[in-house]
Amino acid sequence: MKDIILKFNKNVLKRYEHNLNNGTVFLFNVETEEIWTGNGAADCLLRLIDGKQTLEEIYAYLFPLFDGFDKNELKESFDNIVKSLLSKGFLEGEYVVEQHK
Amino acid sequence: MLLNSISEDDAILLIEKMREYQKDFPARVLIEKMKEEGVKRFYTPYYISWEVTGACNLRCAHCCFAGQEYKSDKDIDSKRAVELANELVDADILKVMLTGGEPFLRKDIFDIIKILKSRNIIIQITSNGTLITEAVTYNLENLFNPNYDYVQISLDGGYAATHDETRGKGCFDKTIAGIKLLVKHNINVTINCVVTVKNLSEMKTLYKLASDLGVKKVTYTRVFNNDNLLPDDNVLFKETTELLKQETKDVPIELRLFTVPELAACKTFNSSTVTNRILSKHLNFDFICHKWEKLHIRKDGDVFLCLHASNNDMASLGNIKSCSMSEILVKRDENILFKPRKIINEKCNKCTFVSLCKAGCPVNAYMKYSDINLPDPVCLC
Repeated sequence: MKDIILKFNKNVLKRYEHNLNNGTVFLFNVETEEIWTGNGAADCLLRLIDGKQTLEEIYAYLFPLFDGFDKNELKESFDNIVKSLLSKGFLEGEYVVEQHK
Repeated sequence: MLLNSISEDDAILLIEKMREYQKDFPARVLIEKMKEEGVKRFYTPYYISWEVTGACNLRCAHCCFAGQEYKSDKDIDSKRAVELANELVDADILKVMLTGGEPFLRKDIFDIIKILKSRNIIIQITSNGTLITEAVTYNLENLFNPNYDYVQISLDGGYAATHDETRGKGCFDKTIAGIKLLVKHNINVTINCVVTVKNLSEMKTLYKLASDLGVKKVTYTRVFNNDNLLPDDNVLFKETTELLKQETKDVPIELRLFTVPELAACKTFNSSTVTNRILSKHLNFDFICHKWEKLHIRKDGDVFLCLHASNNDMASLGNIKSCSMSEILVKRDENILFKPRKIINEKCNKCTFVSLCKAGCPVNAYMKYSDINLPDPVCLC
């Protein structure tokens, strides 16, 4: 999954509320009215999704922010978030195709 | 003067209709969910109205900027505008209304929209419709989400003569052509009519015209800052009741005709039945207006809690040309106008209608009395 480039579904709005339960991020699909919620760590990930960076590049920036946490556990947690959001249609992904010389 | 040409039941229905204002806001479900989850005060506003330019190709008599001399060199420059658009994205703003002046006079308007759309922010552009070209529609078609972004076009009458009297000769035809072009390219269009004594009798004609053009909604708005053009409340109630009989599901009507419609109805009918029915629906209230939910960026860069506050320079929270949005928000939290009100004065305490008007506008109260806890000097009672 590391070579996937993620972007938000064009109908999805994002909103982070700092003061709610120590930080809660909401994703809202305007078309289906479906809502997904996550914590502050999820918001850190979502803020980096720009339709340009691969997931590997995002993790390279993100993981150092969670100093003291086990990398494998971090990766598993964030991978689960990404998979969930892809399956529910909040995110869309495109795999990078390697150019062979 | 008592209104006896519509029934009390029709009056109640009309008020219920007015309270539906912005029920079609695409993120309404999200806002309600956040409040259910416990959000009492939004960390950042979720709605920004942004006067992207003061330049306009028209000089309409009823416009809140009428008579003002303004050059676009006071506008936020392109570099700062792009930075600001990115700041709004970072602040998780849900909707931005781009207004002016005339937004399509701004050369970088589509650069701004592109940044806002990178995070799917809901866009509303308010325009006089006279500058809608193929190039404009091409850009909008590529940037807009057809599910919820839209252009709001101003129309001041059902006939050319009425509209052009306000806007200038030839404007009606240009505006209609602009609307047709937008609709042809599947761009959502709504029409806004500022209702005055001059076009009051054409509300129904305008609605039929709008329906035939294929717009998504028609809004009828109260005229502000011009008492000479303000229709009588009695006549407004009657005409609006007649108008609503024409409403179809395909083209809903939105009403913004009274500052406090319930209070207008209570005073107009002077009937204990109407008053009791209205007041019975307002038992729970607080004195906090929408100020945590919105911000208004004026054309010269000064930021205010709302469009109304922007009429008073002293209510400025700072200037976005020299401050970032996060710095403005800190200033907002420290600003006296942002504090909850405690309405404990004798006049409001004895008033039957305080639950309806909520003591009026805190900005007005502060400008007059240097105290947000006193009632709006423009008390409606």
